[in-house]
Amino acid sequence: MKHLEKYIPNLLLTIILVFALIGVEGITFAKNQLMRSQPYIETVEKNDVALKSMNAIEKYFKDSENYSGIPADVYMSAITEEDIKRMIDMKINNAFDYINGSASKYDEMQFDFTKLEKSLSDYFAEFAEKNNVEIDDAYNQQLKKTIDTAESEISNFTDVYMLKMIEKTGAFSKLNKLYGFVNPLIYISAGLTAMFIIIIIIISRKNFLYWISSALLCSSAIALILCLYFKLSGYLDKLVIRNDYIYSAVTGMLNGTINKYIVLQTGIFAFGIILMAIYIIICKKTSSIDKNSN
Amino acid sequence: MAKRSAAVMLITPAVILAVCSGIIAGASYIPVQKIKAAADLVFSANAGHEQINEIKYTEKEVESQLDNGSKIIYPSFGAQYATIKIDSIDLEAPVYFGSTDELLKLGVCQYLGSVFIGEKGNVVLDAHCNTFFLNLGDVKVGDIIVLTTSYGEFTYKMKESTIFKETNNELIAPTADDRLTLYTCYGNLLGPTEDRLAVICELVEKKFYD
Repeated sequence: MKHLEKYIPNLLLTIILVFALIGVEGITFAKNQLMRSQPYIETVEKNDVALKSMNAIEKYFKDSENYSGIPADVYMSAITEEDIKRMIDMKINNAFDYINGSASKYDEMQFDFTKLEKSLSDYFAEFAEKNNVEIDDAYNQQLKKTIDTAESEISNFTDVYMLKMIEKTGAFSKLNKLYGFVNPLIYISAGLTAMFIIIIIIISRKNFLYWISSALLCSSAIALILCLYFKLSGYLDKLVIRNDYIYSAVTGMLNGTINKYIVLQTGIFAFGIILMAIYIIICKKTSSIDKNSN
Repeated sequence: MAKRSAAVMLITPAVILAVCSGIIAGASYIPVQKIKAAADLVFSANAGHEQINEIKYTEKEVESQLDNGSKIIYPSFGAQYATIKIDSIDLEAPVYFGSTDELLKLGVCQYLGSVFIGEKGNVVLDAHCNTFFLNLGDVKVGDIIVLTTSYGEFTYKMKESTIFKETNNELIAPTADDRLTLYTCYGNLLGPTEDRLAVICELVEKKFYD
């Protein structure tokens, strides 16, 4: 009966502690992994997304040769893979600067396209000279339209996380408002976790290690089961977007996040096992001391 | 007593796991159902990513009969099902069913919203202005255009040509009369253009093979 008096409160506290642990781990992980630009930029680098984007740009301009009359080389000679990488990084950084409040509004990108503009202008001038085309308003308008179209298309191909589409849904301004609550949520959930641990220690001085390790094992098991389901089923690899560069970036980020969370939860699970093992060893030593004294 | 303690010790984490999993499953059931439809749509590709990148054109054709009893063989998407011949501009090119970037590199393409060659109405074909329809603007009134398929040969005569904006769908819309509309990009300068050149031809002869 005495055991039951302590067992049920400990059981209930441990159940609540499991949720507190899931909360604090989840929010802290999300803040470090999903609410910063660095993991997204690292994914782009790891999955050669800039090269894939470059290939897509080259294919686009090669396909457009048939109706624009402008060889793809005119465009491709003016941009490098490094330029594409910088554009991709710039867009990601600009998005997160707005979300975390560093910037007051979202500016998609300001990239220097001087080389591209010169390449196109030179080609147009060459064409005009060869074909006796008059340099008039129509000419200048068409040149400007061609440059604007090229810049816009290149910009689209460097939007590997579809940030423009996400921004149009109003998600950025919502995230910007929510961002301010992240740190308080972390403190609250960490505080609750610490509080429940202290209560368990107070109620169950001899067995607190058992209850805390049980909470750690259960919280990590729940997270691991979910993550392993997504990982082993290949659910995230069935992304319908065909563009290679977007597919690589988005699935790379999703799979990378899941992998990191699996590593984190495996570590917590292992810590739980260690605590449980320590508890069992202490129990055995205590019971053998009691036997000897009896 | 010791055995009972050990059993309780072993079972307790499983009980905690079961209770917590149950609570999470119960609490998230409705939100998950709401998100599931959208998520399944976004992650619904059947094939692996490598296969998605390749467009596989099916080869199955469907034979059918028109109202007048003539036999027509409907092509599958991406199939070459005709040739176009315009002697006045020295053009002879394959005609594909469908109009994609890949197909436009291969030949003249049929606009998917138009009727099949041999059916009543407006057959609409397009091609790039720098390749197969390079000299489309030189086709004159009265010039003959011949479309040859596996089920018949269809002769048209050029009636008129016109320039229109790409946003104007009037000339590629269905018509009551039998006609052929050939169109391509139009512009004197380099770069993208909103203008299109349409060459409209009237049907002069239909010859279905037996």
